[in-house]
Amino acid sequence: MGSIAIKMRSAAVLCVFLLLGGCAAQLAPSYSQSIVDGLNTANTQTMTMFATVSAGVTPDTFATGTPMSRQAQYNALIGQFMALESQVAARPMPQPPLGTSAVTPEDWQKVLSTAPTKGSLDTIVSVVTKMRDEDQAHGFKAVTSVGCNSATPDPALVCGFQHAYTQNFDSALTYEMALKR
Amino acid sequence: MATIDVNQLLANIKTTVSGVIQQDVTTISGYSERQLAAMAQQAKWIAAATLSGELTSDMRDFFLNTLKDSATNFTNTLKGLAVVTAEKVWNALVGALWGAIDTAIGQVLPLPQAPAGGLGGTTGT
Repeated sequence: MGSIAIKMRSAAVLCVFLLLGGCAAQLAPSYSQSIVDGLNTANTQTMTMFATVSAGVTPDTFATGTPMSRQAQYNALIGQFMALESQVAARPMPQPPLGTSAVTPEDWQKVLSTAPTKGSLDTIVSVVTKMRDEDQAHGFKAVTSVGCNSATPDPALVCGFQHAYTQNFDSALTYEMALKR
Repeated sequence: MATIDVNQLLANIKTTVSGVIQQDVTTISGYSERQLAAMAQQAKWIAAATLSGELTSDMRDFFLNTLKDSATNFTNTLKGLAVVTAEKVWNALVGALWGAIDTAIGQVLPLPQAPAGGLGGTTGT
């Protein structure tokens, strides 16, 4: 018990020393394995959903199916991306150096409002939500063998949703992986 | 008391800083290429789906807005990646300079704080 208290006190003294003495600068948030894992898990499930609907689906099967209906799968995806968004928004941010006039509180708010991963996740939530609503209302035509990425893309709606999703997921994952330094 | 060999210090700084920049430029360049290709493909798809009658005007507006948001997210991510690189370069540079001084004078000096405003950009979340 006593040795734990001594270790904790030593750690506190070290932190104060580092704060006063200055240590390696941090301008971007720390890497989070749990955010990266969450992104990868949600991505696997979203790509599985794209594979399902790209074969063609109708509204009458939207709320049915085992073990989970498409409706339940969409809601689970939206919930996962929203939870990641909250996790990203709540993580500790490096603070501007104390006593510098170069960074005002307004500047700092601007920095936070243009946060990369949060913006990408916002867009992903909007895309998956719109896709769910469209599936429920009209279903999706099958993507032809031409595919979504050919020189003459298939005009199927699923392709538009998939492009929008993939691009924003790439932004989120690239930034989060870059934080591993 | 040791003295600082300026040529050796310069060589150390060049090696360390160039290593950081080279690695990060590869990441940023690959990311940019993928994003530009994705946006071009989406623009092409919006045009094709509009011409084929697949897109209602409401749905086209949604995809146009999403394309705009994706372009914004791309530029914000680029800024965020640049800040990460700037942080690494600053730490590598200051580490090499202060390390050389510490060795020469035989004591450890506190590292300076990074000029966050001067490095610019967004830190991102």
